Amino acid sequence: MVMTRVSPRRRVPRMPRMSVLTWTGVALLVLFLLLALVGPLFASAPDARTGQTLAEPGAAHLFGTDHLQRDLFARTAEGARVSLLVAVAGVGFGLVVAVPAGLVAGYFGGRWPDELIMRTLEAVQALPLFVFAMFVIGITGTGDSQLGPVTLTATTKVVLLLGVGFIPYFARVTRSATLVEVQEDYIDALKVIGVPRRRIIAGELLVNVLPPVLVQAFLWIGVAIFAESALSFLGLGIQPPRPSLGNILGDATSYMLLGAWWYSIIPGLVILVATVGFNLVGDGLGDALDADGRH
Amino acid sequence: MLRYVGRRVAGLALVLIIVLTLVFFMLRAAPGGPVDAYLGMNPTPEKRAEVEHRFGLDQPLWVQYAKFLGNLASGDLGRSLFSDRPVSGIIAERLPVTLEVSLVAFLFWVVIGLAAGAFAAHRRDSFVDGFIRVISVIALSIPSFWLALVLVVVFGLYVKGVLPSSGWVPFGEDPWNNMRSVVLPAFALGLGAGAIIARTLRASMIETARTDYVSFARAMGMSERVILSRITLRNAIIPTATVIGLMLGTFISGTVLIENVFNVPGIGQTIVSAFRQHDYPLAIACTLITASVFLVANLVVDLLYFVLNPRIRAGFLNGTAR
Repeated sequence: MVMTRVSPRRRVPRMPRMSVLTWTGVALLVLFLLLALVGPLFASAPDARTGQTLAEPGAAHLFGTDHLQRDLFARTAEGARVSLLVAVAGVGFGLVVAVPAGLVAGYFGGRWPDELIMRTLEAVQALPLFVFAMFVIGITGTGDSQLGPVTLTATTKVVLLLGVGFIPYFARVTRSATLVEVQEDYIDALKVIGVPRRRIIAGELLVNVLPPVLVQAFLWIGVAIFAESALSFLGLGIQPPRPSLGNILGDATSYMLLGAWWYSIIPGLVILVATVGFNLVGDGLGDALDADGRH
Repeated sequence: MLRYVGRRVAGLALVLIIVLTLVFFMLRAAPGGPVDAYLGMNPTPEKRAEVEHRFGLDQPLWVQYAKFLGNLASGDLGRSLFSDRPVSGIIAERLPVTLEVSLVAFLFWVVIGLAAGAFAAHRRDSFVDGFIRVISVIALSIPSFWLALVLVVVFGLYVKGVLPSSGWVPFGEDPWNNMRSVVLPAFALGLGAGAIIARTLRASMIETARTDYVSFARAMGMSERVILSRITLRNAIIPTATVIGLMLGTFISGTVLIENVFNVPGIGQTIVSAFRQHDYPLAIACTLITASVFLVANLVVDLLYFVLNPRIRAGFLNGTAR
């Protein structure tokens, strides 16, 4: 049966005027996405030997080459792609767990399911999650691990741990949006005509609560890129030969004092482009919502 | 108030016990245990049994767990499997290093962050405000470990002899060179946090400046200077205090990264090498220390609200707050 949604149509907010800073953020994000998604198509294979060890950036090798004679533009572009995918997957995993939890908590606002969920999340949040992630990977090793019938690669572990770290934040956003939404008349109406609770939550509340949650989640991709590169930098994240922005920087530490400045500077600048981009866009969104609330 | 503090402390203890239990069982379930790390390649079964017996790993898991908690309660953190020294000794040696770097970073960046935030809010929409905003967005986006790498390259390759780009001199040995070796790690560790403090203070001062009581104060003829220092700043400092507390949390992950780049022998460097060597007792102790610091910092921030915000204090006294 197709159930038409009864929730009132939202006014689409007018496109807010964006400041120079916000535009800069958008431009930086586009630049990063181009490098991560289009760059690998044009670059050579990230593992191919060029015959030149630690060559400076130039016409032949835009970002130079590394200690294993590999082209750093190819590796940085592929690394950016890997970092972006891991970040998006981590945020996605966080959402998959957090949104249902937040919806249920918000629907039962203040009653025991809410208390149970929120207290559990508080306990998770009380842990320093970077240390926790480091700990889990440090213990289970950077190779594949068996979890029952499932084999977890190092990359999967990073995705899952990032996701776990984000759950409390995403769940909170979902819950507070749900708390507002359940006050709406149409929810009462649905209850009165006997629509099952499950369908109210999964059919009506979900669709109406999702947009603000997705906006938040989008901004957390920047945080995820940062966290992934930090873990990989320590050798606890994405494992070679697969490049990621973090493990390229990790490799670079041994060569920076030999004069190979480009090896550590350029991949780091790429991370910076992404994180500044996400932060500026986040600021712009914040300002827009702020202005919305005031008028 | 006392009841609230008691409840928070009890909650903190509970979280710590959960962390410890999790840590213990994860360590035991891990492949490539300490015995393998200790024995190296191809040990004989007899040798393995002997080493397992020495570390108490041949006893049932629950006995090991009970022992672990018991030892912990009596302050005995065990011996490092790798160096065979008492863990408490290693920590006593490494923790002050981390604390020194963190404290310097904290003091320096709190002062800079507050000054920049207050100044930007005071000169709102001026050129200086725009400049501080742009710099702070970039500063908070810079991955601390990359900034550390850049500093090592700059001070190790190009600007030689000004500041040491790597290594550590203990204060007891040479106070002057100790202070020089703190500078770069502390700078890299706190930059992002300083930027967040500046942004938060600026935003909440501007928020406060819009309130009716500030307009009222102005209407009463109070000078802008008095309004700024007595009203705007005092109210805006409350959300900023939360952020300063959270900053300590970012320091924990920060020290792990920074100490590894600058080769500073603190807890952060120890934690990474302990994991690499499957040094169970040392890894547990380091995790415990970092988790405790994080939890205590959060508690202190919550309690700080009472000091900073008379309204919350009043709410507690007449029972309107929980």
